[in-house]
Amino acid sequence: MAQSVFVENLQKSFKVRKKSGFLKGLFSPEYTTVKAVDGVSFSLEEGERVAFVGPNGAGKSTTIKMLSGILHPDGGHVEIGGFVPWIDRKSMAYKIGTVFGQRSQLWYHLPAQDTFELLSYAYDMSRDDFKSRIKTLVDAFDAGHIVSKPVRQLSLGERMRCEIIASLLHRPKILFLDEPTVGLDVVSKGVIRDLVKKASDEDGTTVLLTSHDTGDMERVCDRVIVIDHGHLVADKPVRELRSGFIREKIITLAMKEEAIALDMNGVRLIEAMPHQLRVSVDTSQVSVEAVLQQAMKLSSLQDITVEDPPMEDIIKEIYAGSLL
Amino acid sequence: MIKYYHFARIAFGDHLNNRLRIFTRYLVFLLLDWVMIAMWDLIYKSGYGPASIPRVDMAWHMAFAQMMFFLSPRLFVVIESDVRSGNIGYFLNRPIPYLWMRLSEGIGALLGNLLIYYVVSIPFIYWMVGGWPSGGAVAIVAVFVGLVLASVLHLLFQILAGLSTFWTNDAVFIYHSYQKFCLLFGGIYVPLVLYPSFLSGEVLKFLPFASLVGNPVGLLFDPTWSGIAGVMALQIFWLGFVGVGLSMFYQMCLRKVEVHGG
Repeated sequence: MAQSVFVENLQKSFKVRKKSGFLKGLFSPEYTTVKAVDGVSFSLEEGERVAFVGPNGAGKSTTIKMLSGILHPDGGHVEIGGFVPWIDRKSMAYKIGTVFGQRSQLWYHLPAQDTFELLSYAYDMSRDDFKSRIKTLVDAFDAGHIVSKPVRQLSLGERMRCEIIASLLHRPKILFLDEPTVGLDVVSKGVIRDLVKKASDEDGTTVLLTSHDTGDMERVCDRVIVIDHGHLVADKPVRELRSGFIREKIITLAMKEEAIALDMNGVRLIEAMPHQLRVSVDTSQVSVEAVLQQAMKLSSLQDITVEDPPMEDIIKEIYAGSLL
Repeated sequence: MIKYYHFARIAFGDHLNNRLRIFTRYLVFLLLDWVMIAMWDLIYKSGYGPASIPRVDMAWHMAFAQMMFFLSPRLFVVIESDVRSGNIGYFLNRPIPYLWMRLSEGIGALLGNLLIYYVVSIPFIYWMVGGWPSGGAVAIVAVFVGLVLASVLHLLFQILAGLSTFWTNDAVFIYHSYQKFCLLFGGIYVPLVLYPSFLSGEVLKFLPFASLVGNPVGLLFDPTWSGIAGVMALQIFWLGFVGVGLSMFYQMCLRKVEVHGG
């Protein structure tokens, strides 16, 4: 398969002004340089869906902004569909779609369909092409009832569906999604993830997605790139990350008994409250099934919740280097 | 060009949707007109009015001079907000330059204002002034055309002020300074022909500030074809000059785009 995104030794620093006295600040201001991205290299094949993850300040959004032509890098080489983003901005714009979860590309006072129409002109789409494309997308995203409402009246989940329609309108080859599910409820997150995956499957769109949510990573992507302090820390298929990095599961048990003792290898107590127990399970030592069987032997379970540990914990484990 | 037309069209609709804003601005415009017309009325009644300009012409001049600043949307505020929030960066990966997109939107909103101010203002001003300008309908039409070009020039200056946020972090004081220059050298409160000798109106009329207000509104006193052609030629020159300067300035601004967060 052909390469869709090529990134080599990408670098970006920001100058931050140091606090100093009024006169010193006026005549001789001092700056510190913060390296946001420091020598990141990777590539994406056509149609690949890749999650770009890392903690706050890791440099993932800065990277995606350089790849989508928003920021100039300080060094390195990038090719997006054959274009250098900060040089061939206009030509590349036809090939990419962007969704920034915390920014809107929709006109606030107007219905989303007006923005779609405006964007279709911006992307030089013919009227027939626009009409058929918008029908396909509105049907696929089940958005018929929301596109005619002013954007200011839409819920966050509805707005995000419209944002993604807007970004897919011109059939981009590459889609950059920067925290597309931030602030959404569980149902809306699920809808957005499924729709992105479906759109990518149908059109063969390459997806690069940044998120703090493991659900985005697991439900949408095939591969994960982990970045921290501007450095690439890991680049693995999601399957490997799940079996290799996510060795821990969090189990919350609600039971009739006031307390039980789950003394098993690989099981660590997180929190014990009357009629409720929260434990961490190291799946490399003991399976979740075995822990649940033991719990059922010891008590009458009323509710069970099995969760992945928070993304930050997985990232921390990766940084520790024990799983690389 | 078609895409710019559609940006202007959508902005036109969006602008007219915000009726409360339009009504409030229009009310302020009428109040200001009323004050200026009443003030010159008083000056003429006390015998201090300039003999070379009839009272009705002076009153229409004041009304149109005020109108110029109400016709254009406050584009510098939008651009300042885009720059300060970093939103400007998110427009860069579209196949339409931010600069011309915002100008198209500004022109769309301007057209909405032109529709309202030109149609609704005439009877109001006539009622307040109590007569037509001595140049008749030709003078009014000439001023209207001149004000369209002036408003587009004003939009370009507003974009310049807005983009200056990249360096100043605040466009308001730049815009206010620009407004004060217009006030001093543009012939807003006093027609350029009445300027004292040390501020020769003959020299000032070649500055861009006069092309914004004094020259087009001054067509009320000289609605001849040569007068109209002279004023518009100068306006077109300044439109080109500021437009080219703005393009170059915008390229410098692009290097300054910094978008943090995430």
